[in-house]
Amino acid sequence: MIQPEPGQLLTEPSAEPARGPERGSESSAAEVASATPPAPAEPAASDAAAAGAPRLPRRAPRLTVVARDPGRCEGAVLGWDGGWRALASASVPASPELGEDLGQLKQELSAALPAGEKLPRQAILLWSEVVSACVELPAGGRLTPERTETLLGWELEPFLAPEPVHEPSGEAQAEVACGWARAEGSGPLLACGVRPRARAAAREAFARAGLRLRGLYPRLGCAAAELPARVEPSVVLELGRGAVATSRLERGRVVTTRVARCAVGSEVDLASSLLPREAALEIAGPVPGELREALLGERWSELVGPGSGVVAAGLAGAARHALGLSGGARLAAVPPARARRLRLPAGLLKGLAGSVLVLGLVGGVEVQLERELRQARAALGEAERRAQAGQQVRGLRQRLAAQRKSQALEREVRERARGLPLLLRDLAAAIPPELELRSAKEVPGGLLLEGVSLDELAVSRFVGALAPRLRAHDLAAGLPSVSPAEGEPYYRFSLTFTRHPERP
Amino acid sequence: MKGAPNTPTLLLGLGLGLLCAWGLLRVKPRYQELKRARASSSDLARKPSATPAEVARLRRQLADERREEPAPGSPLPPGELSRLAATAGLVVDVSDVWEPPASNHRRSSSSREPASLPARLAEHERERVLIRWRARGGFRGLIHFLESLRAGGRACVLELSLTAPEAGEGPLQMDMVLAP
Repeated sequence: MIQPEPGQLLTEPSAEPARGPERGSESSAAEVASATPPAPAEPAASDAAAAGAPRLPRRAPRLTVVARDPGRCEGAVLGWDGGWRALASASVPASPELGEDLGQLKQELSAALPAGEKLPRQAILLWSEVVSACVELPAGGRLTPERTETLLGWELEPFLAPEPVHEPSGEAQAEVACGWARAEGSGPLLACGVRPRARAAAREAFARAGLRLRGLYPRLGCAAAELPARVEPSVVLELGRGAVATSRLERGRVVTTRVARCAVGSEVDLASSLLPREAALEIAGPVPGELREALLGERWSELVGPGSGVVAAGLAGAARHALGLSGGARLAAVPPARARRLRLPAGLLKGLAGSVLVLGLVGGVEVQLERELRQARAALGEAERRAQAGQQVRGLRQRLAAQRKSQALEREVRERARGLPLLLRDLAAAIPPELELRSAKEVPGGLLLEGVSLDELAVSRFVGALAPRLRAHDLAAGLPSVSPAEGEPYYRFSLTFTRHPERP
Repeated sequence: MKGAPNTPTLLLGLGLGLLCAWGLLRVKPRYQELKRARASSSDLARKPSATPAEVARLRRQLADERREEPAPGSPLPPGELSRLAATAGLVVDVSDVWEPPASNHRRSSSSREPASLPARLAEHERERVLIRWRARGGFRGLIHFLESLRAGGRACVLELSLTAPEAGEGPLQMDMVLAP
């Protein structure tokens, strides 16, 4: 892990804001007023706009940028239209309360804005209370956001000013409010952090000023976002009031960051001692004249801020991150508020889980029952159709049997109507003269003939003559019964013709 | 009291219990309907079943057999039977509705004696009225009467008994069962 020296991060007593009698009316675009050439008269940006610069398109993103350290509080209104446009800038001496500074800055900036422009409500704060460091995370940085914040909080905690004793509040539950860079690739992770109480105070101050805080950035070190993408390592040097920051970039990623403190006025000396030897040097503008003189013969270039350097490059870098522009992903910002996570009570969770389980069970059983019910209904319908068909078949068979029986009876009746006269004729024709037929009865089994005869032979002849004739009528002759009649000179006989067994 | 469930736990349990009860109430009607449907299917499966194709086949067979058989003739109009008998010289002494003999009507199934044609006809076509006649007349008249019936249509003598007088003189006594 590469981190700043704790002692250097602490606010030095000499860096306390100088409260001059002219507070509130001083305005400048330069950050380090005492160490830089005379700043252009404020509002510089509005002067540029008045000079005939093209108007910023209405849809172009705009942002209010506030930078505060123990000595000064600066503000700028930046717009992006393919390049930075400084719409206004102002500077006031820092007061103990951020809210006072914001109110004053708001007035200054509103007055400096070109006609037709309003102060953007979206705002960011570059603050010396925010510390940054590059941290090597375990598991290649593939951790959950909560775990990452916890780890970064541990790493950043030693560099933050001690939290004053206060009553517990919901916001102060986390010791350090953290943010980290979203740069792709592997390597150390640039992170920044601030005390939650300070963050809450800043958020409330911005809200009171009618601004909406979108992120908190370290006061120094944000100019790295303004550096164009390069392959070779670069070091961005940024001078502040009583502090000099260096950020080393490799493959478009901030790999080390450091803020060195010094007495106010000694920044150039400190910067001269921090010059890199094996990397390209970029100095965030505006560059003080003393430093330019000190760097004579050295290879360096200047990162000029918006408005031809009226606004510091660091402010533009932070704005680049806030607006999601290219290069902004290198930086880290502390979000204005703790991400709200829905935490349901354990009992409610249990209840919900149980309810979902029961509902799922009921739903599953219902679906299964519905499916089985559909199958059972289909089977029942089929069974009903088959049973109905079975009843129809039974009825049809009965009707068929009745019809066949009726037809058989009709045939028999027709046959009888045709055959009975023939039978009687055959019977009459077969009677010999010696024989007298007394009765002829149809019995269920056939035909019964009774009569008298003069002799037995006549009976035999009668049977012999009748049998072939009646065979055509399906009647078979039985044996005749012949007996002499008492007191009479003839014989009584009876003869039975039985119907053929196959033709009942 | 130590170990006793607290109020939220009780409420949670109560809520889940109510939810379970609601689920049971919701599921129960469908389950009962399913049970009924299965029981009905099982009952129906025990009954004789057939396919629609079999029904159609039997209907066709019924219609075919009905077409194949010639339609029976129409019954004689009232009075035509007596007129035919008179034409044939038959004198009808007794004419009444024929009733099948009780012994035949209630004969046991084990009896091998075949039922007479009038009995079978009366049993099969209960609406058909059969007539019993006792008549007198000659043999030729009887033949003529029978042939007249045949020519007339549906009417027929189903049973006939002839008895000659003892002396050999006089008309034949005829007992007959007719289907008009």
